[in-house]
Amino acid sequence: MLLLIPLWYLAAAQATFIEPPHAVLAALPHFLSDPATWSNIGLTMARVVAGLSLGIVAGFVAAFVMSRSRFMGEVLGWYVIAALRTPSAIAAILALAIFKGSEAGYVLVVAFITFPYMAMGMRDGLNSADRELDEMSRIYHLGLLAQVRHVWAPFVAPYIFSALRNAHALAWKVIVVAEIFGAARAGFGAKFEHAWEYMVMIEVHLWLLVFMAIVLIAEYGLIRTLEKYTFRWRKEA
Amino acid sequence: MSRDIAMTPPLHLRVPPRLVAALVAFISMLAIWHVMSLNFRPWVPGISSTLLAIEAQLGSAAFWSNFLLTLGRVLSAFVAATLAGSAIGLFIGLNKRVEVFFQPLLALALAVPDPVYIIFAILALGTGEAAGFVALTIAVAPFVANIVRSNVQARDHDLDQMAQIYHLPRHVRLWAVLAPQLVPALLTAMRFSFALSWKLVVVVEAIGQPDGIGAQIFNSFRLLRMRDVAAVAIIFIIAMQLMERGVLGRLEKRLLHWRN
Amino acid sequence: MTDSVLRVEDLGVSYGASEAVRKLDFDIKRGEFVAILGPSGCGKSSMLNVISGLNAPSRGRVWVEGAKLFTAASKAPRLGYVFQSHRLLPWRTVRQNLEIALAASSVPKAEWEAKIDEILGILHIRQFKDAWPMRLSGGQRQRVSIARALVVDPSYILMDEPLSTLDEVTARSLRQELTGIVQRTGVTVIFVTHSIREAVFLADRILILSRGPARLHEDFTVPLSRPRNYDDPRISEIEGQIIAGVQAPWGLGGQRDVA
Repeated sequence: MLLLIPLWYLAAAQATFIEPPHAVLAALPHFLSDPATWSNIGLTMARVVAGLSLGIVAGFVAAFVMSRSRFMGEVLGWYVIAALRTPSAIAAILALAIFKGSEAGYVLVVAFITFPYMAMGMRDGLNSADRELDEMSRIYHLGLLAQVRHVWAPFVAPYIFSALRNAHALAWKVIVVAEIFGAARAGFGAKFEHAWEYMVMIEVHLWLLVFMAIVLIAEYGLIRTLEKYTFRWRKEA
Repeated sequence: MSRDIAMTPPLHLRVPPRLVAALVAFISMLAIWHVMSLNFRPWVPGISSTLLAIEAQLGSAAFWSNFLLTLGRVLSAFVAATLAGSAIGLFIGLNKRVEVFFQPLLALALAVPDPVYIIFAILALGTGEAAGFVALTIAVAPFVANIVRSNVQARDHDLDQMAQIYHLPRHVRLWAVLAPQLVPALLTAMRFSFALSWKLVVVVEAIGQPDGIGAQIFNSFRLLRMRDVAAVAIIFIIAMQLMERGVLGRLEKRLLHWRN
Repeated sequence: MTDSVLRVEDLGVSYGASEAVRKLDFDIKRGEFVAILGPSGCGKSSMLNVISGLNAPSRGRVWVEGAKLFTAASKAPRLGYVFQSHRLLPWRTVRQNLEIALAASSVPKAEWEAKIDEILGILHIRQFKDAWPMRLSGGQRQRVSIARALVVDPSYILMDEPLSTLDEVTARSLRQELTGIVQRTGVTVIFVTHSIREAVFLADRILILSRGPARLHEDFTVPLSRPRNYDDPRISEIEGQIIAGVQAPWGLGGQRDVA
């Protein structure tokens, strides 16, 4: 990790638009103490959380339907493919045009892009749980609650987590694309683009740095911790 | 009489359920589109006007020159990202010490949003052809590396031991023992890499290039010609999907013929 | 001793503080069929890794056909190995699997074709010469694995529970054939198994190991002539004697790990 800093210096020396690390670092305290920084990040985060939640719910409903009915599985499979194959830039343009830049547009773009990943991951999990559940519950006559807790959840959980990790990483990327393309007035993507357009390079770097820190904290601090807790019974975890 | 027909449908009317499902999906999508085009009038184009726009685009030389330009960008980035990503993934997967060093870097590379790569490539290299190529390659390669790495590590260690006991020489171990185990992973990685490349190229061209499919879409959007946005997007998505199925699908069949 | 194929003296294996093999001495002669019996976790795999030339022991000496192993000048032993699972390369045909092993052996290329045909014939799988392993049954795959071990002209063949994953009917017929194959080829076999009955039926000699860390508990010569019958009451009798004898050295509940 420390090797990145000399690399950064090297890049700064080579390209006129890349600032050296010490200049960026000097501007960091002021940047972090500015409440506007946090309100913009908060807004982007709210969009991500809302969109991702919606995507998870939609993906879960789709996965449930797909695992219950073969026919509906085939039909929804086409929807999943269509969503999977839509470039996020195009989804962003369409959603923002339709919702005229309102919050619903951003949330829907994130939901639309993350939903197929959740749907596919959870469908695989449900299908594998189904096979197990059938035999187990028949042999031991487990009650519904016990089935869900002891058979269903442990089987589906790994699939949910790996789908969640993909969807989460994607959600942050999509929101940036959407905010840039949607000409948003606030939010990380908007500020980033604004800084870039006016060539305030230090600020471009600062936004980036803070953004990456937040994505990594969310992934490692939140999702991986949750995952570790869920799988604490596993040896290698 | 009509009841009889309903109870025993004649053979030639029996359609495979998969086809019915595809039709239901397709028709329902068109229905949703239609309803939306009625409710969000200027923003969602109508189906028939979009079809006309598709026809117009297919007949326009400007569209095809953009298409070929974008295709060239997609393919060059796809090849570069697949090669670089596979090499890195192989290297990390085979070597524990390299893994310790590269793993956090890989996690970081996967978390960076794509526009960031694009903007930084433009900052470093200007708005030329090189910036788009570098941005695409850097954005896609970590995914390929990640897929290849996990599959190298999950290889069959029993076969490694067998190779050691029978004193198989190094090149045989690499080409006859390890490489075939990685073929499915490499194919997955290639599919992923291709899909990611063509989806990202739209962002790259919209942000940093004056020409290509992405730029064309973004320009149409700025001029509020939503019909052309939809038309170009649909043609491009379908064309890329066909390429993926055709070329990669055939390659897959060829390379995995030993499986039953 | 000119006809000694594998000689082990004062062998000890430890990993840091944990000791896997305490002290083993044995000598295996050309053409012998030796079974090795021991409770699970007794250090058998550590011993196998040494006599297959994979890992150097912590202590002791090993000779293969008079040549000392694990010295600076020594080469790894030329041996055949039949694993619990077949470990064939599924993306190579039966013939190619054998050829890959042959290419690394000292058998001259001109003899490959005849040798492959001969050995596939002995194992009754010549018709599968150009088949993919995935198209074969479990028993057929294990035959290919045995063919691969035979084809390289090994000093000896190590078999590590090769029949344990097969169904009993398949295992029985392969077990029966194995004795014939060994007689026809005169190959030396070291056969690790959990089944005492199998050991008594197949082997000339049984090395019974103690509970881990492994020591040699008994070097038992099977007092039966060949050909043998798997359902011979004398086999059950000897099996009973061995079980009674290992109660103490294998710890309480001597039935443990006796299949």
